[in-house]
Amino acid sequence: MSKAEKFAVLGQNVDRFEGHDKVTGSAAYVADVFLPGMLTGRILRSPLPHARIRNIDTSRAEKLRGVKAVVTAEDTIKQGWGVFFPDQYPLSVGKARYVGEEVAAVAAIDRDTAEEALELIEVDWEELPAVFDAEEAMQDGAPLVHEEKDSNIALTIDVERGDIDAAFRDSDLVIEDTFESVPQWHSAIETIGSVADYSANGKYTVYMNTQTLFMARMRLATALGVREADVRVIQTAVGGGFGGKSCDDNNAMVAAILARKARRPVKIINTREEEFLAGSRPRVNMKVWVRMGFKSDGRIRAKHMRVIADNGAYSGKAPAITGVAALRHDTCYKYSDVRSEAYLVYTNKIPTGAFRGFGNPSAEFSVEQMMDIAADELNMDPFEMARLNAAEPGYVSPHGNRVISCELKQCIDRTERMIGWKEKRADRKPNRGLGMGCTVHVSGKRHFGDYDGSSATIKMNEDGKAFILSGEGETGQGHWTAMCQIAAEELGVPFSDVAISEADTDLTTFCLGNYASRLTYVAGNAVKNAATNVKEILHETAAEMLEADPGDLVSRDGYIFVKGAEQRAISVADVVRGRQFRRGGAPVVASGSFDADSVSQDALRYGNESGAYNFGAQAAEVEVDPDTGRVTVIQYAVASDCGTVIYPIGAEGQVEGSIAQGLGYALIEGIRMEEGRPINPNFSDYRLASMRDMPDLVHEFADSYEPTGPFGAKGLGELGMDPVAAIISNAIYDAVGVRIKTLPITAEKVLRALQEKKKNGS
Amino acid sequence: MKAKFEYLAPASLDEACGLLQEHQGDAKLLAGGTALVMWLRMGLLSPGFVIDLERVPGLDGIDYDPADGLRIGASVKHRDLELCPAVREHYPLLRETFYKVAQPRIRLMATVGGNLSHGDPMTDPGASFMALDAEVTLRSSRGERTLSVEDFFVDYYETALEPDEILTSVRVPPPAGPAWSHVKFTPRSEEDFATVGVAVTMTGEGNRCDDVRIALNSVGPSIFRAHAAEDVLRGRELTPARLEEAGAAAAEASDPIEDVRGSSDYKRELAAVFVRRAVEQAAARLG
Amino acid sequence: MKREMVLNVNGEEHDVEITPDRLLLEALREDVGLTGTKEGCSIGVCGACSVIVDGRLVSACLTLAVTCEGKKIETIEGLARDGELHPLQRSFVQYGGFQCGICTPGQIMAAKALLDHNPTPSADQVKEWMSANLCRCTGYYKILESVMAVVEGKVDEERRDEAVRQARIQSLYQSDTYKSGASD
Repeated sequence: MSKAEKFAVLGQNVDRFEGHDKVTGSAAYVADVFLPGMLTGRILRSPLPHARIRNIDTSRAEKLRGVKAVVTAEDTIKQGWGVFFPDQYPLSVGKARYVGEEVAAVAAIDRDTAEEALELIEVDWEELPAVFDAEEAMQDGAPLVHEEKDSNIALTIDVERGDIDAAFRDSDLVIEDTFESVPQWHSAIETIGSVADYSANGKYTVYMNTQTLFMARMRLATALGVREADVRVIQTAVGGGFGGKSCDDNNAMVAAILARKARRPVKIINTREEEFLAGSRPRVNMKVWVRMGFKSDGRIRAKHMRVIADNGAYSGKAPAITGVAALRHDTCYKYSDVRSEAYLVYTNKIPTGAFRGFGNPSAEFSVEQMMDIAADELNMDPFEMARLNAAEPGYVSPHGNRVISCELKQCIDRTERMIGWKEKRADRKPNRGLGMGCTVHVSGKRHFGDYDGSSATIKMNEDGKAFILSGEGETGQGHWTAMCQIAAEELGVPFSDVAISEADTDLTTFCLGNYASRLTYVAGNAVKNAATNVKEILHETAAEMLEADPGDLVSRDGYIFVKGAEQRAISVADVVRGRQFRRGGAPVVASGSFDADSVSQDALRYGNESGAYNFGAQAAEVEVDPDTGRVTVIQYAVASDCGTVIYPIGAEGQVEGSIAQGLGYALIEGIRMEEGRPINPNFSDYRLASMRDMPDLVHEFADSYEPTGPFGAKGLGELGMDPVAAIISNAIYDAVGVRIKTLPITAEKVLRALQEKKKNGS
Repeated sequence: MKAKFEYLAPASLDEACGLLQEHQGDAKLLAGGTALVMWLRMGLLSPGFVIDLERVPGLDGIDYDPADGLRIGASVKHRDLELCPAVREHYPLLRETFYKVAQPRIRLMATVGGNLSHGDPMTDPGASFMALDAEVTLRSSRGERTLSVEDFFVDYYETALEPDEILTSVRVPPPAGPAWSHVKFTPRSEEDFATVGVAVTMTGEGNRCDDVRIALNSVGPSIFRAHAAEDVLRGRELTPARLEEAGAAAAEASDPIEDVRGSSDYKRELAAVFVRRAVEQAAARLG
Repeated sequence: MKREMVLNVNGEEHDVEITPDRLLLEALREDVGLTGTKEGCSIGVCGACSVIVDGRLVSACLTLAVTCEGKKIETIEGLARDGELHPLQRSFVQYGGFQCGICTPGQIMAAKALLDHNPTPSADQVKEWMSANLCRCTGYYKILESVMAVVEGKVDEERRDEAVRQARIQSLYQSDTYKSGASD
């Protein structure tokens, strides 16, 4: 039985709002922006992981013909910026802390000239001792990445809920283990870039492929030392974000500084190598130690987790990510007694940051393997154990996360069926194995100020077509389409009668942007509220024109009817014109706001972080080649609880894409680092899976309805990514009896583990 | 830093040889461009002259003759070799090998001559040509010479080509027998370079190997022939113990570098595994 | 030194003045002004810059523009005729074959190059061919479905119900595997 309402537009596979632009090559990405007089900017980067700058001589570069501006920290206000800790500068002040850090920059008439100029800049370096490992960096006497701080530990979390010692004593089974992840790069096919312009009256206009428009503006204003309104940020088409374009890097800052000095527009597009070195901030790599206690029937009794997270040289969003890794997953299962410790540690490496999953993948790589180990020890079916512990509606996590809708058990059931768990377990094949796991994610997260909201304005055109003004933007997931569907549903007009604006800080109200799987839920609610308000205006005027009571009116298919007398109808277009073209006429326009019913976590990290929680279960079947260690994923099954599905093709795309990225994280993606230098930072060595590398994938959405969501919807984008690596590891264990606890799970690691197992005769 | 060069497009082989001699040491030949253009862009090469071979007649075409075997023009693209009916019929090893190189777009661009001349130990064709006892023809203003593919590969990105020489064609003798195999191990992605690649040709009967040629790529500074492994098998029954021994001999001969695809020890162990498997697969094709 | 030359793009001749090191990618985007062709990896791996030259799919980032004189270059901008989308373009919209869209021009040009030579490839042939074009958003499932919809004449068909669509994607991945050997 469906919990969903009957919808006119929602749940339909409409043509994506910006679809024709994208299939014809006419969508304008940042590299496609050309302004009159535009210069090419290039950045001089630190070749050393930790070094003091004794002197920078730019005189030769400045004299090169075609060079219009050369900038160093001396051209900046030397104001640190950063969303949680202001520890980063647009251009190195005094010293560089990782290979790739921005030291100086040039704007010239073309790329060749700019690159030639970079070679003419002379930096007098004093190399400093560097530290590359987070645990080493925590030791006394380790080189300090930031000398003004008394240690490399940027953040410490240590919270205990309940009585953890008593809970372990009360446990029938206690297990502990350590799991380690590596940085994963977003590897959006489009690198980060910007085009900055500076007008004579002191205003910056910056075209960016950002996924967080107003946060980009906030940080530009901070680093440039101007008011927010002196910076206009316009979102271009964005060629993939995944967290990497949420503005923790310096690209746009440098472009703006160059533009001000050159008094001409400056474009800086990261090369692929720069994108690895200092562009999108890769996933925070973590070492996670976990101890868990269980009752003999499989119930979780206690959990103690210690996370050591590698911050890299600057903080970005890693503080929040570390918090998520420490606490979020406790919303997935019913816990009573937990302790979470986490340390975020500076090292002389590329700053790590936000990537789809936001700390949760490292946590789930650990805990979802622990659940599998426990099931094995207790001789229980992992699906049974998951069902036994699964969160339910009304569950409040030990850290205060309040679960409203929750179809985790339904997801577990669906996944068990889709993967054919029982049948395959009954008919085991050599070197084949099955693994499963569960996942939880948020629909928005309250951590930037005490606000996790959105706003939108809808204005009606005189032809009856609605136009949504929103600063949330489109990064590729299809939010523009979903927002138009939500507005159409609420307004009672066809999907084709709704359009949405590009994100532009000067033209739209404040929006936080695209992260934390928040837009369908948070922005969707704002758009729906705006549409409700517009509908009220339309009905008021329609009531006058139809000589009816506004309370008796309904909207459908672009018409407004009198309930029960549907021959008394008027088109939305006629209503808009009727209201506009009369004495004292006025446009039909209204705004809507929404702020999630969540709370900021207190000093002890207690607080309901999100308005709604999304759940899922997944399972994999793998085959392992015992001679080479190669792992082949045969089939993958996913069930997701994202509430009402607004735009099915878009939602399915989120599931499919997140599993692909999860499989890359599990099995393929990693880079060799030597002394803080990435070796071969390119797409030949850093491989992304291709079409024929993909396994057979089956997925379903749970029948679900979130009462606080727009028409019952909640978030989805990150959910799928989180547990994949653990599930693959569980399946490998099931297949050949070895468990890999570090990522990526390369063929070599599997082979070594198999050899070790053979040697030990186990 | 991007390279600055003069672009030359000779219309004959003699002209090309002349230009190459004239600018010896300061010129690079352009064929498919998949390696050269990338290296130019990365600043790994900065020649004064780039000589485009595309308009040079006589470097294209695939000719098959039962007595003489196969002649492949240097400018033949990977994809054309892969799809050539004569290759499909008479040289299934080449077809299989070229099908596995990179991905279709690269195969549509990259040429056979360009691939061999580049001397990249990570690419696949060289090992199969070696297993087929192919030879290359090298031409310069000084004349022409032929060389076995085995002798052509010298070291890491180093071939026997003199600075004034152009590889003009590859000749593959008539197939000695029906038994062959090719394995390419790409555990990260099908599109990756081989972690190890093995090509085998074999003659014999039943389970007896009369003669065998085994060549490997991606596990040494250049593509190489595993002579010691061949010696273990030649004239012998292919018992499991011999296959193990041949694998071990090939591993002994390999000298892989550690990279993102694995440690050198791992690759050496894989060389043993895949030589064993490749020989098994080839033996399965013996009459 | 710059040289004058003519590039024939989508049937139209363009006079350009370029140095020999100019990539076809740069010439198209900056000299001809057609920015639909995208740069992704710059080393021929990702396929975002895929264009068709004299009927062959190539990476514009590995092609010197100077070598394209006298050749017919096809880019994404040439596909729609008189405002009418090419079936591949319609299919990618209808079947959700893209998200962010940055790889899409390359994906569509790659698919066109395949279908121009072989209008009825099997799903495995499409997978093998399209594996040359990377996408970070979709996991490729809907790209495959978009191309197969053109092959099977299912563009513009009324959208089927979700269960049928899912079964279909699954069947595309369960077909006889290409790994058993070469296919054309």
